[in-house]
Amino acid sequence: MTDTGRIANVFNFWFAGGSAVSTPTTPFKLRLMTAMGSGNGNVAGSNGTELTSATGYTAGGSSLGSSPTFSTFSSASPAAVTNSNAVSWSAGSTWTTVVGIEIWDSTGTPARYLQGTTTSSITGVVNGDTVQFAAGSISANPSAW
Amino acid sequence: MQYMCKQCLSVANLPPETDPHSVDWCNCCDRSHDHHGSDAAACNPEANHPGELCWNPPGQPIRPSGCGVCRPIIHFGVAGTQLVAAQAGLGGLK
Repeated sequence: MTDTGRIANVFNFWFAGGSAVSTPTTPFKLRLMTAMGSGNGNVAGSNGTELTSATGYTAGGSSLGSSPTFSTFSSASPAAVTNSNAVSWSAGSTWTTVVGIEIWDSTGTPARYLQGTTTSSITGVVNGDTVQFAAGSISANPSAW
Repeated sequence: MQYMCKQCLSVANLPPETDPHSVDWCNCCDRSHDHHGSDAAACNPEANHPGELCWNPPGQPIRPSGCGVCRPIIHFGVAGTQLVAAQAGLGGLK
């Protein structure tokens, strides 16, 4: 399903005198969520609930690294692309269960671009553990938009 | 979900929603956690393990002699994402 909200902004800029579509400020940040928001596809949604009170995790997330954030999308053969760099956190306390992620840019007022659930909740994180998203572990499939 | 023991580096794939600290896949943990009580952070490494590395302070994967508390692990997250719809104030295009 195409995300008509974002596509409309691009088309309005090209053809209808709409405001310029700004370039996201990188690096993109990976946020850990304890409850998912909404807003996939055509549905205008809301942000999820970010992990809090978790020593070792900083509100706003951690950098997904220098560009490119993801491998190159292909227009000829749309398929899932994956993150280029690993992100990890060292837990210094017991963490609430993480059920998903959100990816935001780094502007002064950050903007949310992607969200999705983890294939399995991240549970049982205690002091001394590491939570890691390895390179290639986060996928984005434009053919599903 | 995949996990790795920080002490022996062995890897396990456990069913979803499993607390990885409740399952043995290597022999690095004493799940009774009875060496220093139920909380590893209660260990006083200076008193209990003089001169040795310990769980306390956090993040220390090496278990000192005589310590049986559970070892820290790595949780490997995997996620699929979708583009979110543009909406002012909620992360849409600016």
